[in-house]
Amino acid sequence: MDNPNQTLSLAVLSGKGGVGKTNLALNMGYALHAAGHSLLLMDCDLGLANLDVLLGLSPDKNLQDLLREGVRPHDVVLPLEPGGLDILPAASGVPELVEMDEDMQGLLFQRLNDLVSRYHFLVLDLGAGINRTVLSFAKSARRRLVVVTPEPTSLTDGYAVIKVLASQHGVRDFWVVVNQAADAREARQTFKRLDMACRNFLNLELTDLGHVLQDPTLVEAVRRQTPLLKFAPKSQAGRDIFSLAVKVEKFRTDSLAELTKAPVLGPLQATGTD
Amino acid sequence: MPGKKPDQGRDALLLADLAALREALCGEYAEACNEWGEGGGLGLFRLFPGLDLESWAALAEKHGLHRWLPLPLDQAALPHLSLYQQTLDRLAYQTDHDPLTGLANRRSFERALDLEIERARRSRMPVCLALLDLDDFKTVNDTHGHPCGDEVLKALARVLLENKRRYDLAARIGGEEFALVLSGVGLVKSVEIMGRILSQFSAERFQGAEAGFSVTFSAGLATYRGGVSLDVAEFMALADKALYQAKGEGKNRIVSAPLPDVDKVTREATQVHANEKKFLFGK
Repeated sequence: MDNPNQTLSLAVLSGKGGVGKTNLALNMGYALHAAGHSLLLMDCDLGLANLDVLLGLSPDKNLQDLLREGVRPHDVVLPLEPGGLDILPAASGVPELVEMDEDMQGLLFQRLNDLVSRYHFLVLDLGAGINRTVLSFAKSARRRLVVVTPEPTSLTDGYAVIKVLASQHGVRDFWVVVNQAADAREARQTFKRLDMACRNFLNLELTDLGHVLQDPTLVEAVRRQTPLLKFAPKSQAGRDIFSLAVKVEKFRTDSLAELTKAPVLGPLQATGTD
Repeated sequence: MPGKKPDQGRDALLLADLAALREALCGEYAEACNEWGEGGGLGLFRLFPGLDLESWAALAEKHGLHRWLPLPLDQAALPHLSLYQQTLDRLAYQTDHDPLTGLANRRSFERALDLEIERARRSRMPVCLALLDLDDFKTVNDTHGHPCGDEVLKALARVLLENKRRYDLAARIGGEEFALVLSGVGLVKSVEIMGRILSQFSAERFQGAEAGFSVTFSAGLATYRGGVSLDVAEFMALADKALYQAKGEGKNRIVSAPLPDVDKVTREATQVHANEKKFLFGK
């Protein structure tokens, strides 16, 4: 069977850096784990990884090591919490690996397949920018979550990455989370603008997954290198993230049958050359 | 005794026979002598009992009879077949190479450049074309003589071969005109490579009729990155224009043509346009 545990792979991307993507991925991981799911958090920012930094970890092996002979996926995975919340760290400062070509990525997926299909969720924390690695990881996941903030720069970059994925890679489905919104009204307005632009110019509709309001508690959690959902689960941002996780969980429950049909990562069917 | 010694009478007979046949055929059936027509052709045989391969080779060389195929009837076929093979190899080499310098000739250069353009277009990896022209080469020939000029040509060929990578192509495409096709190399890097070749070549000393001398060249560079469609002639014209400019600016230099596909680097299709931004910013 391609996907024995009906693992849902979710790529978290943003176009622009510094919009809270890694934090969101990490805390969604904690929320889903708290709801009783196993989850692997994979740092796919191959140039400037920082998932491990956010957690105060200093792993001695990372994702890139998987490309070498004799390194097993289980040697690289770090447990975050007992009961199946694990992370797969990446290396920082290896510019050669930012532009991973399809051969390297194919090899990586092949090595990863046994590992990732043990979890209920696989969350890919992608880097900023629109490079080849971001694009191919984004289209290889079963779902994509685009993180934007109400700032025009973030909206533009978020739109740009959606546009490239839609027009060059045929990706049509995107979940959007508005992060760091002042209030629910601003969050709704931000989503609406992005959605209108996509409807008008790309002929696609976005899915509003929800928002996370600005919260000073989150800043404090980052400073302490502790995930927000562990540090202050009842905070505003904590509750917002939890409700996002509930929606993701529901999506997986509703699409279990569909998930078994394709591998966790990789194209749904073989496509021609670009 | 068959064929060991030169036999004037026999040779004269043979030649007269061949000449008569050639005249008859090539006068009335000129096409049949020169072209491979459709629907086969005819081989004409005549036995010369006293002749062996060695004497035939000497005769063919002396009288330019390379188009006649000898077939020994009294010995194994291998020796003469290997002779054919050698001839074919030599002809194949001559088809693609410049006899003086051993570099690729214009014909094989154009074929290789055509493939490189196609590769660059598909893979979006750059290819650089350098056209080189020796400066004041006529003066070298006039002052120091043609054999000396040939030495200069051979020296440039050697410098090109020494500096190129194994998969680059160096060619002599005209009298004093050379070309270098640098695969996967962009404009900045190719200027560097050509600069190194120019300084190495201009440091060479040649022994002239009276005194030693050195020679320089001018070069025009063009780089293609696959963004627009481009054919061999257009690519050549770009580099040639840069070469012309290098000559005009005083020779002994390298000039780069503007990138033909620079506009395409920003991909129209995926750029976020002003009207899209209006939606995003709610204006």
